[in-house]
Formats: sequence, C-alpha cells, structure tokens
Amino acid sequence: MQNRHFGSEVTPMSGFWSNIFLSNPKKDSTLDLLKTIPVFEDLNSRELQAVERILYRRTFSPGEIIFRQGDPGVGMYMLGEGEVEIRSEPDHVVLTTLGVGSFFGEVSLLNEVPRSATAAASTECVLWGFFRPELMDLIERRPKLGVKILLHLAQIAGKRLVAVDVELRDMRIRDSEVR
Amino acid sequence: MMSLESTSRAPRWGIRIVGVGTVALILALAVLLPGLVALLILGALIAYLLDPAVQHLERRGFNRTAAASMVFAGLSLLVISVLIVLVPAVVAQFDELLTLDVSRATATFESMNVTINSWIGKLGLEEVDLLDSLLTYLGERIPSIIAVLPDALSFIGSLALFPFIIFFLLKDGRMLKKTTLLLVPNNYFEFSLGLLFKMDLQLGNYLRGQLIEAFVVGVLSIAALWILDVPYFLPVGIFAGAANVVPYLGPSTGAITAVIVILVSGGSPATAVLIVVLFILIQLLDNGIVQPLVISRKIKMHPLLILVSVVAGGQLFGFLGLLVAVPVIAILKVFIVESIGYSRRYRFQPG
Repeated sequence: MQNRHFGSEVTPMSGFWSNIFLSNPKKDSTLDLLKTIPVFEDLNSRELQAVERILYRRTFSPGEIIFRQGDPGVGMYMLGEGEVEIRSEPDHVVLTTLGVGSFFGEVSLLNEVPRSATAAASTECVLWGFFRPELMDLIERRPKLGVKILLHLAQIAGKRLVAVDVELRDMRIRDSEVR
Repeated sequence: MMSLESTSRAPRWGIRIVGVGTVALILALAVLLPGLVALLILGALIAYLLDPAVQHLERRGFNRTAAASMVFAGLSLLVISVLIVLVPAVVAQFDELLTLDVSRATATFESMNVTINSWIGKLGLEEVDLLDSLLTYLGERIPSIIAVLPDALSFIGSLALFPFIIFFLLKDGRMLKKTTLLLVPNNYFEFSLGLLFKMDLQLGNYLRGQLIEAFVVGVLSIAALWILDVPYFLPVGIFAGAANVVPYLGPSTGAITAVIVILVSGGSPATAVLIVVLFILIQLLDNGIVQPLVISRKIKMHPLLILVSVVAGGQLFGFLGLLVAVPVIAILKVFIVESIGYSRRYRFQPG
C-alpha cells in the first residue's frame, strides 16, 4: 500500500478495497446519490425519500477528520462532493482515496464496532451521514423498509467476508511460494 | 430539508455563535421565566413518553403529523374524560375536607396531645401543646400561601400553552433533535449522536416505567383506601400515586398523608395501622411484581441526591418543579455518567 498525502488525486482502488468502498459516478441530487448506494438498492422513490429525510448533511474542510480509527462507529457516510482519504493509524498509510458516490463506515450501522481506519477530508467535502439510531428508529417505524436495508447490509457484509477469504487464501499461497 | 442544508452551509464560527446563543437563551429563560421552562420540561417529558404511540401509528402507515395529531387527540380525550368523571368527585371530597368537622378534629388532636404528653412526661421533658403549635405554624404560613396566588394565576395562564407545547414536540421532536445535532461541530458530532442514542435507550424505558408504576400504585392506593372506607380516598390515592414517582420519599409521603387524613377525620388508630400495612403491601407488590415488569433498567440515585433535587425543584419551579425534579435528575445523571464513559472511547482533536 502506497503512502500518500492529503490533496492527492483520486486513484483507482485495489480490488479488495474497491469491493469495500464501492465508487459510483457523481449524481446531482441526494436521491440520485442514494439510488447508487448498494445499501439502498431496490428501494422505491417513497422509501428513498423516507431515507433521505433521516440523513445528516455534514460539510468538512480539507484535512478535517471525519472519524478516527478506534473510535466507536455510529454509522455510514456517503460522499456527495469532494474527496475523502481512508488511512490506517498510527502510520498514516493511505489505504484509498474515495470520490463522489462512494460510501464508507457501513459496518457500524449493524454494531458499535471500533472504526477500522481513519477517514479524513482531502478536499472541501459534503457528506451524507446515515446512522444507527436513525436505522433503529426506521426499523421501528417502517419495518419493511428497515428489513430491506438490513438485508442489503447483510449482503455487503457477506461479500466482504468472501473477499477477505479470497485475500487470505491468496496470501497463504504467496506465503507458501516464498517458502 | 432546505433549512437544514443552509444551516450546514453556514461558516463554522456562525454555527458556533448560534450554538452558544441557543444555550445562553435557554439559561436566560430558565432564570427569567422558570414557570415556562418547567412547563417546557414537563411537555418534553410527556411528548417523549408518548413517542412510542406515535411510532406505532407510523408503523401502520400514517405520516408523522397525522400520527402525532391522533395521539394528541387521544390524550386530550383521555384527560377530558378523566376531568369529567373524576374532578366532581375529587372536588366534592376536597370540599368535604375543607368543611371538616373542626370539633372532631380538635378532639382527635387533644387525645393525641394527651397521649404524647404522657410519654413526654415519663421521659421527664417539658409538655407541648400540639394544637397550639399547629395553629401557630399555619398562621405563619397562610400569608405566604396567599402571596403566591398571583403566581398561581399566571401559571394557569401559561397552562393554556401546554397542549400546544406537547403537540409540537410530539410532531417535530425528531426534527428538533436533528437540527440541534447539525449545530454540533464535526469533532463532537458522532460523539453527541451516539451519546443521545445511549441516553434514549436508558431513559426511555425508565421514564415510561415510572409513569406506569405511578399509575398502578395510584389505582391500588385508591382501591385500598376505598376498601378501608377512608374519607377523601380519591385525592389521597391520586396523591399517593403521583408521589410514588419520587423514590424513597414518595411511598412514605403517601402513607403518612392517608394516616393524617384518617386521624384528623376521627378515624380509629386501628384503621391508621391498617392503612400503613396496606401501603406496605402495595409497595411490596410494586417492588416485587410491577417494577420488574415495567422497568427493565433502573437508574440508581442516592437518596440524598433525590431529597436535594426535590427540594431544589420545588423552590426553583414550584409544584411543577417537584413533579419534574426526579426525571430531570435521572436525565442529568445518565447524561453525566454516559458522556464521561463514552468520551473515554473517543480521541477528540482540538478546534
């Protein structure tokens, strides 16, 4: 993994990371942005509007931390404008740079797990936050919609497990070849 | 959504000024208009307690405004029905209480006086005159009771606002929470969001449980007092239920009030003992069955903290202060404990 600084250009993600932080092309409105996020796949326009109403819009300046590695996770972010760097601590290695239409942090929608990496704005950013309290509230109020979102989250978690499994197998093969 | 977006677009210092200004305004209101603030707190508590009912209707497909209107209409109907059914009975009993046969009460006091003085005499202490002391005490207090009447009238005036406060907090509570969180700087945003979520998990159950518990104890007290043929069983039973919200002090206050009423109205000491026994039984029932069923998570508060908060609530905000003191202290306790514990897991950056 290459070590890069803030303000660097968006670079293509490695296979593994692009599977986790899926990028999508820039869209004009929040609803269009939501339609491109796999978590909200298959939602009709009324359901998307219900989700849009509970999103938090946050703006970040270049260099500003969105969340830190190890902090308790409360939810996911979708990138509406700008670029975000995901980096590991304490060595500040940049794992990937995300562009408009990307999403990250979705695991903490399911559980209060510590953030696995630090996310920081590398340019002026507009992020849409979808958080666990709102998801729980949505499940209470609109169970059908809640189940759809949970199903998508489970599918993403499943794909991620498969990807980690493949990565581990490849590492084992590489390791045995080196020996 | 537009207004929220424009808030987020505002410069950081602008957001901070709005945040500090809001806190300053709330504090100024608390000092200048304590009655209104107490009503707002009580309204917020009621709206918070009724939120699950609104959510239930939303689950059935109603939008937030329709659901909040329906719950509000239901609450209004319930309050009006209770007032129509209960108020004449309570007022009649209060009337009776006010036109109490003074000679009977005096006789009771005199017999109590003789008994107490005989004990005091055995101890070699100076004799006391109970009735005289009571009349002197009341003589000193009555002018101050009259002095608060204008306050009470303005309080009744602000009561007219109360239904509106409850309705708008029910309808827009979620939006208010969201708008408030948008004012929080990025550095503390996730922390604040998580903290509110944790507080809601702890407090929601606790406060709703307390309300159900007070209702059950109130009904049981009314039934017990009615069975024992205690006069004014309705106001005394309702008071016992309401007082039950205050831990430690509440249950004994309810029992003491009932005992005083039975003694003053010429009831036998045996009935007074029976009242105490029944109130103890109600408390056992409450602690053993009602509490475990309705309160899944208790918030432990030191008795001294409760005593001080109730006195302070009463002195600062009057009768409403007495009512909201314990829930407010529970909220503050959960806020302090959770924010200390939760903040340890975060690494905040300056600025």
